[in-house]
Amino acid sequence: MDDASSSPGHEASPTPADAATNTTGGVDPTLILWMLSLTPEARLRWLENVLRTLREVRRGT
Amino acid sequence: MEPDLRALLLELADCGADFIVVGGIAAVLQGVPLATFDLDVVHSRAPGNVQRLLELLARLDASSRLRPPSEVLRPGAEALGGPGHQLLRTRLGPLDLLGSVEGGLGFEELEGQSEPFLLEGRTLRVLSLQALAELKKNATSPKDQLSRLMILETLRLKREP
Repeated sequence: MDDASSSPGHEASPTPADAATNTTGGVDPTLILWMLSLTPEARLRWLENVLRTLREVRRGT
Repeated sequence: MEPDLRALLLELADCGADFIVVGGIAAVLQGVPLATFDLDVVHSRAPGNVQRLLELLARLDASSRLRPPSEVLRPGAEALGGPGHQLLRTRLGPLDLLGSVEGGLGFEELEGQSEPFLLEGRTLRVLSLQALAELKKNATSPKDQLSRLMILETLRLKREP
């Protein structure tokens, strides 16, 4: 999850130069900026991919 | 069947019910990278709306998550017309129908703090990030505190990209 470029369904990954440099409480601003670059539909697809991956990990597949 | 929260959201929109998306899905729709496992909505408790929801719950084979899967217990009009929370399993995934949220706020109070979102041709009402953060202001669980932090950071980045 730390590497936005490896997130499934991504459409435009921010470069380090694009991202904010300061963080709050360890929150990764690059991931938020990447999410903000997506449409609401694409954000839901991201969530679906995350949940599918979590289910697969839990199942051990 | 695997949960399909997007399909669940679209079914809710298509049934004609008045509701506001809150919780994790509301945050995700607005760009907060949170993983959430259920769909939380605050519904209008008006009788006509409750009837539309009851018909939808029947189509979705909804039942209480607080009971074993073998025991189908579906909320009735009285439950959906009250301020409580109905935690349901459906054939499309977990659905929480909330009559009210923190501070006793219901659909009417939250509608003004929601924003229209277009999703696959449907217009949904989604609680604003500011209002989501406000609801979690007094949260004590680490999960809710982390969610609030992510929401506040997203708000900051939206304002000062």
